[in-house]
Amino acid sequence: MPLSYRIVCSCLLALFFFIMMAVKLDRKPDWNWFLVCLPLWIFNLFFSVLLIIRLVSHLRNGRERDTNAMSLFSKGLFIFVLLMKWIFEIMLCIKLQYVDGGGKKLSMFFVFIPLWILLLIAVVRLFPWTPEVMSLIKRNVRTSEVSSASRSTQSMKRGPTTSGLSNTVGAHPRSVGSRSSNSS
Amino acid sequence: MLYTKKEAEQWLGMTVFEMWVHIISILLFTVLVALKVENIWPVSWWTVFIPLFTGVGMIAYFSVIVFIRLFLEHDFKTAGFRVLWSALLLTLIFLFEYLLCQKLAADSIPQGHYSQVMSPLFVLPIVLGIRACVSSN
Repeated sequence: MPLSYRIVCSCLLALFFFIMMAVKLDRKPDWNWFLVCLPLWIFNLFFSVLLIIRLVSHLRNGRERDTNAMSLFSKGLFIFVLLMKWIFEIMLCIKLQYVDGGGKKLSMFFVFIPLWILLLIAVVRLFPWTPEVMSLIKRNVRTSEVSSASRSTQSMKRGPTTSGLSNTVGAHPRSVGSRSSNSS
Repeated sequence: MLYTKKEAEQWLGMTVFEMWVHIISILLFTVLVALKVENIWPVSWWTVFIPLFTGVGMIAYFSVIVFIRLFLEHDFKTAGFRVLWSALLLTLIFLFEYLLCQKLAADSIPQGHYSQVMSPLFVLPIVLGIRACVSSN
């Protein structure tokens, strides 16, 4: 489905939801919150079906036809995010409709937990330096492995003459061991 | 999360960093709302809304810096369009946050006028939809 269609659908549903909410708060206080959130249910259902179809086709074919499409992990994550969104909205509607007026108690923390999980996933995924940090960590691990291996072999070759230098720069323990064995 | 990063950037006309700041501010805001509603930290609504106002302020500052840098690189058209779009979005978001906070804090707007508070939100999806249609052509 083209991006512009998806965006227009989302915008229309959002607009419809805001209008319903304003009407509920201003004119029709007896409206059910589940009815007010109808655009959200349509939105969730639409995206859930879309994602499940794409996930199933990906699993059946082994790959996506479109090369720019999301990976299998991203699709799984998106379904999880949608699930969290469903849970949050249902719990919020239950709290607003049945719990607050009926004398029952449902903590806001329980209501907000799915939303916090969702937002934390978004924070980690959208962290601006995540790709750079990951590549830097991988590169650092690789270079430290290579440099420690080369340093240990060099110190083994050079022997006691470079012991002072290797001591100051913090040589690998294996090189210190070799130095002591050489000096003895 | 329902769109890829590239799609969201294209649609919203903002960078990943700006989206990230918005999400962080919403996260902090929801934590403060939960603390206030449960009476664990009984502060005023203006305090609860501080993360949202700070987020908008930070993004405005970031947008001004980007505008100045684009202007210095003589990319006047891009700089103009970008700053105008950011100003429009941030004004609508800030207006909604301010009106909602005022309504919750003092209830100064007469009863039955939540539509006034939500008026920036009626404009926002229309503007975003128009942008999506224009950019797809």
